[in-house]
Amino acid sequence: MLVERLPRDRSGDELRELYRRYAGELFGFASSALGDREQAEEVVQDVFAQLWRHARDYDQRRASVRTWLYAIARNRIVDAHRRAAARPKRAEDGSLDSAAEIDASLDQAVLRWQITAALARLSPAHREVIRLAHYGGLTMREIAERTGIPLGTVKSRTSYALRSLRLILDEMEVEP
Amino acid sequence: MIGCRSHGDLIGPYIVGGLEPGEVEEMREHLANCDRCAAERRRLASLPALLDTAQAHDTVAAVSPQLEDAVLDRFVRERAQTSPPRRRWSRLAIPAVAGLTVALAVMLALVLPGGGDRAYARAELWSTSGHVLGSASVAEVAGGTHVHLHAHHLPVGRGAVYELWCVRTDGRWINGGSFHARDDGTASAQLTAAVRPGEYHVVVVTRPSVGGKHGAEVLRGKLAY
Repeated sequence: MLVERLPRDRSGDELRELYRRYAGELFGFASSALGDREQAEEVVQDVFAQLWRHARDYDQRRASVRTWLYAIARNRIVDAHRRAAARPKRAEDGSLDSAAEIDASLDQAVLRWQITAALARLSPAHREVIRLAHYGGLTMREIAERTGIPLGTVKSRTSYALRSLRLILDEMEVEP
Repeated sequence: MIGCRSHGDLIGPYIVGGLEPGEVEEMREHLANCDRCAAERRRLASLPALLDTAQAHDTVAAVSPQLEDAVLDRFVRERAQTSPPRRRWSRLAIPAVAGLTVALAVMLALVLPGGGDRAYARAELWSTSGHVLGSASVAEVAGGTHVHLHAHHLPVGRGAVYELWCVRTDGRWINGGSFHARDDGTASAQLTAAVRPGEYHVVVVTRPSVGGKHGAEVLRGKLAY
């Protein structure tokens, strides 16, 4: 197990592997929650610093590596929100005040990132039909007219697209 | 479960509200009588609300390659600092050992060009105008590379801070940290970069980075193994 080997990792190979597995989604999550690329990068750096400093404390019976990393990231993001809340506010500032607000905002950010990531994993044809039908509010007939795709194909493609999306979200442990 | 043969393809359009009014009515009646389609509808029913949490044009933010370098670099630096605790020496032993160390270092410097470290490669550092203005020797340490750098005639008019980079064979630049040149343009530094033997072959000294991009190149050298 990579995390268990981390305390003895003199080459950095284990850390590299963990980074390549999890950095992308952690960055996506932090970026979505903070709306700031630079801060999100700082969060990812901090998460991996915590990971190697506390690798000996990790207990796989309590949580998966992914869950553990998300918990660390979440704490760092809460800290960032608190720092933003402590600064003098400007009229246009969207800083969050209470812990409940931060929690709700983080849950929303996680979900938003997961949906975006799931859509990105669909085929372009499936993603397009969802974009037109759900976000564009077009009927199947209107989509067929606009794209030149036979109506029956548009209907079946929409069903397949939603099934694929559901499967991807199941994999990502997004509850129905 | 993917719905029945006659109406299975209509479940998706029904859920996203894409059917014509007559089809919606037909689908409602069908769902009341078809267990397969009803189960499929229940399975997919939460998707519109989930899709509402995102925007049509949201994109998955890509991680910059520099972030991996920064994470690994931090790892190497912290690892280098967490060396095993040293034993306490007596007051007399410390100066004695220091004296012996200096003497040994002088001897090694005289015998071995570039010092007596565990260097596995060296490079002459060339300025952009084609003059040799320094040298670098590299030694492997836990998780990375120690670079021993000596330079002279560094321009200090626009500031004395420089950065060291190791250019990997895949073209990526790995930051080895920054150092200061002295007022006379000379510099000696020991820096650590998150690269390993064989992963890179070029060492570059630049002006400080600006906006995530490395500064202007000042010195460059190719490692001789």
